[in-house]
Amino acid sequence: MTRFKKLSPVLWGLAAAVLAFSLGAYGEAVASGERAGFVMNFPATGTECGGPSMRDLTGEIVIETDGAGLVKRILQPRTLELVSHVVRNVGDVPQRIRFEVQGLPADIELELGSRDLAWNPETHEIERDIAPGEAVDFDVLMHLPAQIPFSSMPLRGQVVIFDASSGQVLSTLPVSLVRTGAVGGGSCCD
Amino acid sequence: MIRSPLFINRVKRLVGFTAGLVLLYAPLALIARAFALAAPGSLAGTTVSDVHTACLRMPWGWLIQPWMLSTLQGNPVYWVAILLLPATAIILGPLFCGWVCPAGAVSEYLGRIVPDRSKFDLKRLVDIVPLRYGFFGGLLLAPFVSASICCSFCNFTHMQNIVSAVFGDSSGFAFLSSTGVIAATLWIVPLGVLTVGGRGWCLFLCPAGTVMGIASAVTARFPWARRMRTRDTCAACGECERVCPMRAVKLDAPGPAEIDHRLCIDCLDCAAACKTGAMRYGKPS
Repeated sequence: MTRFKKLSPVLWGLAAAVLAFSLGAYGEAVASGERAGFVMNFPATGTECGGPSMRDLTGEIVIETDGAGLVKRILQPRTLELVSHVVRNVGDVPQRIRFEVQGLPADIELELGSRDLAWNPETHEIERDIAPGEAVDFDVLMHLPAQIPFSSMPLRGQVVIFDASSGQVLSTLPVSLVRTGAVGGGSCCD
Repeated sequence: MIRSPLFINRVKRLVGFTAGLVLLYAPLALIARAFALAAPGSLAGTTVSDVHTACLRMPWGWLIQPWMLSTLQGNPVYWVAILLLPATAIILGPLFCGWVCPAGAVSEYLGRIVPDRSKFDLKRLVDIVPLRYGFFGGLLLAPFVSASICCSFCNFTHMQNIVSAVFGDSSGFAFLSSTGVIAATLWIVPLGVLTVGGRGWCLFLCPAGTVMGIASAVTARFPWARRMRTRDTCAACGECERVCPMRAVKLDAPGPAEIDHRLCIDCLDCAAACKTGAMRYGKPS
């Protein structure tokens, strides 16, 4: 081991940088099978969700379940997550909103959540007005059943934002769970 | 032994780390709440306050990502990491790491469970400084080369999950990601309890600590800079080197022990352990 210590500091630094890049590549590779980060606007101006990074916008949340890392497959293979720090009011007036996830098979257990102080876990509503330009965060835990219905893959659904007062749909974002061959979701915070 | 200066110093630090919990972590997270009051409408004002609100990792990555600059500008709470902590380090040294950061404290204090003879001494195995700063460079450039590792390999998240669980909210453990599990394992096991000093994560993987180390080292000789210093009364007994959690004390050359300010977190354990009073915290003499 002492021999290693005698390596040039430049080599040590480069090795560390390469390690950081490798961790990033690994994280990116497995994230698409475990969680999907996205951004979402309301009222709808077209749907947007995060690709490999937030700046690469696509029109759908996709989780490719085969892409999960080995650790995830061993410890918690059937729980996936959709997460967003940016669900933004792009309209001109304050809005009070409520979330739903629709269309996925009923045997997929969903847990909707937000770190917002005004989040109501029973109604899935953020019980305050969200000002124009303001963003809130939102996440969905998806617990797949023990027998994952691979035969019916891809599974499709959508995240829906409602006006909590009128019940009007403000925005929707498609969600797909697929086995192979789709574009992944990426880190939530790039 | 119980009342040794080293023990007393570590108890004092424990008080500081407890304050760090109150300041940074939910359920209280007073820093985030203070920013929420001071800057309503910012991120801090709209989401629940926890360690993520005043994140100490992401802002460093965002600083060189042009598409994230508006996020930084719109949320002054992120400037705690970018401005406040380095400014503190310039004046007082990285006291935040040595006296306030609970995540660093957890691995350091857990590390005391395992005797040093059963651990890796990174100082003897690798060249710590270039590894530390090389990794920091890699962390900054990773979004351009591969993908950001600020969130995927974060120990603060796990610390928050632990604290929340202690206060009855275990939802942080509801979702396990591969990178999250790897990060938690690295933080606690190989870079924690199995590393002499218990601060392997702080040495290599914490951008906030790395920047404070740079700030501290560059300004250490300034007349107003308070840092750990050595006196000529040093007997080179090696006790300071043994107790240093950051492996920042060097006794390679004849003469007094040398302190590497790129690594030192001014925890004062060395001063407390020194039997000749050769270690002091203060301005240059």
